[in-house]
Amino acid sequence: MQRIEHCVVALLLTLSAPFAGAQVLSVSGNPSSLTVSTATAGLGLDPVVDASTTYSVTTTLPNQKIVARLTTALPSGVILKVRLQPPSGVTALGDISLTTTNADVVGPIPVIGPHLTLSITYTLSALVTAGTVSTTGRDVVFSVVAGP
Amino acid sequence: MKRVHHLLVTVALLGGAGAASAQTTATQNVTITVTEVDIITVAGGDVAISVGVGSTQAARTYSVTTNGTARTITGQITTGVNFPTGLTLTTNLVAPTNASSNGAVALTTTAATLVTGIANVDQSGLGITYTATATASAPTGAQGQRTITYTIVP
Repeated sequence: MQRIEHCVVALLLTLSAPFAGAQVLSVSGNPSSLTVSTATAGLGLDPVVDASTTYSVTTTLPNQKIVARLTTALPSGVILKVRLQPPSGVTALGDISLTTTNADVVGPIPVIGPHLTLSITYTLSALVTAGTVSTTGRDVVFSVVAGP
Repeated sequence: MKRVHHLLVTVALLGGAGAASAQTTATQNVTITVTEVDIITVAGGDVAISVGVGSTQAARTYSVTTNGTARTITGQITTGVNFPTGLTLTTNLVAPTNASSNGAVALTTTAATLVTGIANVDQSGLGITYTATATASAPTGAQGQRTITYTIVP
């Protein structure tokens, strides 16, 4: 009887420990296709914007931030920027150019808890030197990491 | 007693593994496309030229943007008819970087090539020089309006 009691205590500790440090991040899906197809003469190709998706993050530790990166580089002359609406009280970082290196897209979040349905805005632009780019996809990976 | 002990340990391990893989990352797939884009615009508004026997010039500018290569600019009269005998109107476009201008080219109702070799360019303020020339055989008092259309083509 003594042995069983010890095992039950161990079970409860194992289940509760990961939740204490786990941050939860989700996105609402993929954005609409972004197609650069117009220009203003002398002022370059017109950028296109998509703001159809959102993200939610639940922090269980203070000062967690969100970073983003591409898994594959963009074609030369093509620029993809992302802007995440920050949770309340967090300074907006604006449009961030995505590369294969993580970049901050949401600064340290001081308040623990859920921050739900915040907007994600993508802006695709291209230099004339990019030429044409056949339809292709890029994965954008968002991660919650410890700030700052 | 021993069997119960083993069962509880197993449950504890599964619970821990599930929580450790909580969604600290999220991925979106972004689909991107850049199509062929060619555009040319003219600045400065309409041009009015009066000419006696001789030549008179007027200037305007144009802007051009293309992400294509081997582009050509053509020009032609698209509203109105050809000028009467003895009266000509030429247009001379400054070429964008790395392109070539054909110099002063007479405008008619048939498209004429004005600039060649345009590639991946985004420029504004490029010069257009119109030159109206009349000879003694030109009809006096003739007045007319023409629309000149510039087109960038592959």
